Amino acid sequence: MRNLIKSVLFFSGLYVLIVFFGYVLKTKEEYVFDKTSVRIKKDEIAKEKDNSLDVIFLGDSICYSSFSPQIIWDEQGITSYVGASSAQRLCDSYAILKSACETQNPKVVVLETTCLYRSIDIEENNDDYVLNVFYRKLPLFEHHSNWKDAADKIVNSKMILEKKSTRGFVSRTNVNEYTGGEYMIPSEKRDMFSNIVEKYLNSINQICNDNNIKLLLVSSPSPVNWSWERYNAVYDWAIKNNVTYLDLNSNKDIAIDWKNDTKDGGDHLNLYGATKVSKYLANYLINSYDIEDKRNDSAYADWLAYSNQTDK
Amino acid sequence: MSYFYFSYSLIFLPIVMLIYQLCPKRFRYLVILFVNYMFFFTISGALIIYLIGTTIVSYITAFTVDKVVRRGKYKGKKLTKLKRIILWTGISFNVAALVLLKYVKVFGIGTSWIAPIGISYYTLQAISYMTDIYRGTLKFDKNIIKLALFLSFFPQIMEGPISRYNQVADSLYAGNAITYKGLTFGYQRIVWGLFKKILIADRLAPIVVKIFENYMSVSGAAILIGAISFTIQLYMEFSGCMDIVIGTGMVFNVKLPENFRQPFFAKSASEFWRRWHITLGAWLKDYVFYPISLAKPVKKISKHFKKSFGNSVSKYVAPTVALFFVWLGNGVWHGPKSNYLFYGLFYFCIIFFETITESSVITFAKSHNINRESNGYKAFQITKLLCIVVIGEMFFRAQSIYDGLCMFFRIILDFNIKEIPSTNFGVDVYDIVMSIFFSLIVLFVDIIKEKNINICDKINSFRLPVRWTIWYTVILLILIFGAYGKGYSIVDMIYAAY
Repeated sequence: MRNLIKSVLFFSGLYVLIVFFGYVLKTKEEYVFDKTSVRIKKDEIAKEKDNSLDVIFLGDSICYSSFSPQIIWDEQGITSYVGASSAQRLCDSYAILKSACETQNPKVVVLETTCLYRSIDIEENNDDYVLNVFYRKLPLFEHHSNWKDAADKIVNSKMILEKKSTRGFVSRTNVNEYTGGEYMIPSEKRDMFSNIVEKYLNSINQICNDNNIKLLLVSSPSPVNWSWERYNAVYDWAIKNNVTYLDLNSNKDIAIDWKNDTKDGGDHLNLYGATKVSKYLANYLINSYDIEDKRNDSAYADWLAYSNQTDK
Repeated sequence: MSYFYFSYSLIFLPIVMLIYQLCPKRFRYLVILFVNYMFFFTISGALIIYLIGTTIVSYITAFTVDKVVRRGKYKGKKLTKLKRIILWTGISFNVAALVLLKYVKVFGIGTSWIAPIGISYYTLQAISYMTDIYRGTLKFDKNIIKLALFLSFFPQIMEGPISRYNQVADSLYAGNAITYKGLTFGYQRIVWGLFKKILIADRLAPIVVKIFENYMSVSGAAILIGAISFTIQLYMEFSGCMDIVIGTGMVFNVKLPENFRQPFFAKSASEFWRRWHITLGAWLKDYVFYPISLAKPVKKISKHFKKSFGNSVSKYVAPTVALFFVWLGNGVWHGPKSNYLFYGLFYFCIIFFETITESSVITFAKSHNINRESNGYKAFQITKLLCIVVIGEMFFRAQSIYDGLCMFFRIILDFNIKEIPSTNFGVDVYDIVMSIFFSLIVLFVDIIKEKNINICDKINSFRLPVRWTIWYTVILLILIFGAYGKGYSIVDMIYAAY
């Protein structure tokens, strides 16, 4: 009996502490999924010279594996930054874009569409039933990472470790061919993204409209992640909202060689695939939008130096 | 279900405990057996047939060996030969299932075949059981349920430890009531396992993924940090899992063998392997090293060497041949990948070198007045060992031997430490600081354990307010600073894949 009372007291005390710290760490700021990645990306873009970027890329690993700011610069003198991060959710893309607009005035925001199919709901991303219950009932579990914000206020600095030279692009040279054959098979079906994702997509479009930025949806080649059904769903939204949509999966001009241009069997592009896609997109951007070639502009000397780096 | 899930320790385990405790003592082993098979079934489904098959084959083998001995029809060499045939038949069945499901994929056969969870672990346990019966070091028990319990105990089915029949079978079958002490000590061990996994291992996981995937675009210094991070991640993950497994055993009064004993305090590679994945090392020693070193062909080779080169060379022959097969076995056990093989043979070379140079090192130290017991010398040995371990783990984690070699040469030829501040490690500074801080706490606890102080006993000797403050702190550290929830993911159990 004594042990039972002790146990009850112990867990009651623990419950009080969990509720207390949940209250302390709970904030009312906008919803983000991956706080660390958002912090990193916001800070990286903030470190770029004000109003120096023509294009900002948003999306997940498909995005940062496909678009190289250096190749785009070398090809057409366009300045860009890849604000993509691993498994980026659209709520995070929205938060990064919102922050980026405070220091930058890009002409175009490119949103790679694979991230539209990533669930924003934390419970759908987690198999641990008890943890999901705790997320709902105890704020500490959802907001515990806010200790980093508190730490920021104490040390008064955002110490971020991120390589700037690639401007968000991740270069991989390994090759693992895709052998699955044609994957863009015409269909009338639609693979719809969720309502909450659509809400964030509308918000991103709204920010772009408010800041006179053109939103461009791009589906980078990826047999593992893309299909005609997904194309239909994104196309419908783009038509409805008068947004340009570029599906590079059906585009034969890029000539992706699936034996050589993917690093992991058709999931992500490697450097060879990214070079083709980046060059294609650079030409598309310069021809379709009011963007100037800045390669001879002395104000962009740091981009010229960037171009001379070997690391893409 | 992962042992690291809150669902495991807060729902699954309490339900099992409740049913176990409410059940009459004589039926408790049936509760455990049912839970074992349910647990296995929820992960591997119908593949449970392989586990049951292994149990039946091992039982028949042991039964037949025992029967042949008891009948007394055969004596001496004939009996040994017959027993050996029976043993090898049993081993062949079990190993065949393992090879078919896990290894033939490399030849393009059965690429879609899925191996049941824990096959590498329970197969080794089955082999040890049959061999011990054959050797006569274990008495055959007609009760097949005991064997079934031993091969399928749910906490150890995914990552071990690879226990022996006489260590656990009786206590699993006994069905002793759960005690307050067993429960609290068991859960304290589980919390400590979660501490290592959630605060350190999962926090380091993004660094490891980032560096090992992108080693071509980072400096050698960053690769070294990635390799160190993986070594720490693996230790925290695997030893953390063992804490949960052993803690679960403690709840049910089952004393499972320890799998780690402060490995980074070892002073040589061979000592490291007596402290790291102890049960695999012990299994390989008992069932590979000794049989091979005592085998007739190996003795013949030894004799031949003695005639040709004398005793100073021949004394190394049998152990070296056996050691080669031990490390070949260690590498192959991890899976059908060339870098696992390389990993095994890497340790073979290191330990072989340590063995043949041991006397020269002692002589050198004596002649140069180097005190091998001094702290300085020990620090040198530990540093040397850490270099070996980190390099070994780097090859182990790399996608291929080629990738491992590229990483190795990049560390040597392009270290470039100035690149570190601008390297993308996939985490922020707070994650790095926290990883270091919590790793230092684990190091501190390991130092205490190295001094043979039982940390749980020590904490429980404190007065209640102190005791509770310590456990509240540990739990709140996990909940507040843990790498879980949004932006993090509970990384799959690394050793469950082997």
